[in-house]
Amino acid sequence: MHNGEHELTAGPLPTHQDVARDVLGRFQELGHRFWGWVTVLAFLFVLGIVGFVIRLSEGFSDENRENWGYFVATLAFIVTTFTAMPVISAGLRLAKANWRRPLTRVTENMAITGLLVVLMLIPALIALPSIDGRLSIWFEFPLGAPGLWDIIGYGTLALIGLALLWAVALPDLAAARDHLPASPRQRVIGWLSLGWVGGLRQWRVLYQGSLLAGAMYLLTYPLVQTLMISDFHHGLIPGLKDAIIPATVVVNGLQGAVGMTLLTMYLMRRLGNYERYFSVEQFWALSKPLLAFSLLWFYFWWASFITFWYGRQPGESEVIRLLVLDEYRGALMISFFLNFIGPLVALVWNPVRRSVWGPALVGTGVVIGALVNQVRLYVSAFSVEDPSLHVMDPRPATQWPAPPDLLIMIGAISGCVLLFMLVSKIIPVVSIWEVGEGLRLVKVRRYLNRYARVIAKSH
Amino acid sequence: MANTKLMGLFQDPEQAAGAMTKLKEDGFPVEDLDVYSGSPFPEGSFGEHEPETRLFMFPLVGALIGFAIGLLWTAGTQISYPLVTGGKPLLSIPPMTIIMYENTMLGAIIFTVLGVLFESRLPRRKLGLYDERITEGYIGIIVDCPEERAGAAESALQSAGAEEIKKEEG
Repeated sequence: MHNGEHELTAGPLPTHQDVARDVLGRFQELGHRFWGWVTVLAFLFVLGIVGFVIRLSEGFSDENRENWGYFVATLAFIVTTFTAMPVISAGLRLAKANWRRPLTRVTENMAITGLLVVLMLIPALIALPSIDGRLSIWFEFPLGAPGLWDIIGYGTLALIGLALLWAVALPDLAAARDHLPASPRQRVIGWLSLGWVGGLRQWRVLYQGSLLAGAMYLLTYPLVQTLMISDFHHGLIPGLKDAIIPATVVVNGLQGAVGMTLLTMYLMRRLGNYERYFSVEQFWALSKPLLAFSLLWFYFWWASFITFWYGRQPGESEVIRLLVLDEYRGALMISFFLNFIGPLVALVWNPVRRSVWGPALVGTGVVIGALVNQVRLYVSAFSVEDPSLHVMDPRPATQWPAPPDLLIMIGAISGCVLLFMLVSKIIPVVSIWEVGEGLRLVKVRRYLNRYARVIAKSH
Repeated sequence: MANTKLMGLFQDPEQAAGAMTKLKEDGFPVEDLDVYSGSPFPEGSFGEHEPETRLFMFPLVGALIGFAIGLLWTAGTQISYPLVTGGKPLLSIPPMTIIMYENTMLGAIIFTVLGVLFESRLPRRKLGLYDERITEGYIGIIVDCPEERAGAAESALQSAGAEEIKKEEG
């Protein structure tokens, strides 16, 4: 917890006990407001299932592959935003950034969306055409590539995310076990805490374990993004040979993760009264990598584009027309503005960066831009008639979302938010122990004619 | 000879550190002292014994096993079903690398989870000597000592300012 103001005073900082009582007090509440949101999100999620069942009833075949384009784009959007969020906490913990402490748990709780990703992956894989006769990164395993390899890759990411979330949450599960009144929920939390007591050995292992699991998440996320773009985009568009596209989508994922973190923190401030934890300091600090990732978004897009522009082979010209100049030009323009121009114009100004609303607004734009960009990449790929050709013929028309597609998109995104809300009532959404540890390392001291915050480095 | 465990509960970390110093001065081996807290303190804050862990070995072993499985799986499949394409080598290294990598990570994380459980001595069915105030910021100093030294330990904890002293028979 930080006061977030630039004018510091010598007043007492909150203690570990204050934080524990405050966070557990909010955590304990399961009021009408919470259940109201859960009901609305569950209803939207069910609508998404209805949309999915409609698509399922139409079956999987090469003739109607375009039916699954928006489904796959939604899956890619979740991987690019929600599931990417634990990367933030892993990276900041490795970098020992003190300001990370109130926001790490928010990002780690989003690891739960990895389960939805694995579930959605199964129909997405069934919708893919056979790899016979088309470009693919796989050799032909008798049981079928890429299904098995993708499920192992995505499943590994989901497993690492859950392991990271659980390991880092053990002390707070113990706090909830100790202080919540007896109830079935408290018993579940007690069981998940596994009898944690907070001894010297346990803290040492938790510290090392969280760094290891975080590093593994950082190493596995690029793999999953590479599998996603190779199997569901690159291998389906004749003439597309883009060497840097795996790196491009990883950078897009990092940008999406920061954008979604900013949006989540803003909503938690407004709807959950978490202003004490998500202050200007967190928004300001995250706005800087957001600006950097926005510049990289353009750089990577441009590096790909210029290669095709100079190449001018018939296949490459068709790719540029499909993804940039004609059918999906509108989607690119929206994404170009929300993922690059908007963040650049807004975040170069320090007063915008040093505010809550500025980074939150830009982050919201980045998230919307990411969704539109996934539509451009994946819907276009799924509407290509014959992926085994050397040149697209014919070039597919722009595909707009049908009602089942809209239901799937709304339902899947609502499902992610619903999972986050539910898991946040099992694992406190602010890490009590990490904030408590940080408070002990901070002292406000007189410095000439002002006060300054002194942060101790214990290593 | 039966051992006893005592826990002195402190609200102030300074007092807890003082209790550790007093206990060591009174001849209690530092390996028999433990500190329970709701959040970690920088290493050495209480002059405590730093427990040795081998957690880093677990992901290493898991990664090696995962890598070996990935290698055997991919190479074995291609050798079992030899499809020579355009005179190219039978083993296709780039896709093998991806599969070996994901198996390496899978093995590493499974073993890391096992390592965290093993090295943390979890799960514990009973909390033993414990106080719920620890997760609210209190600090518990645990002394594991022979029964005849329990009195000395208790007086050391008391003199350091323990708010409460709990006792458990070993």
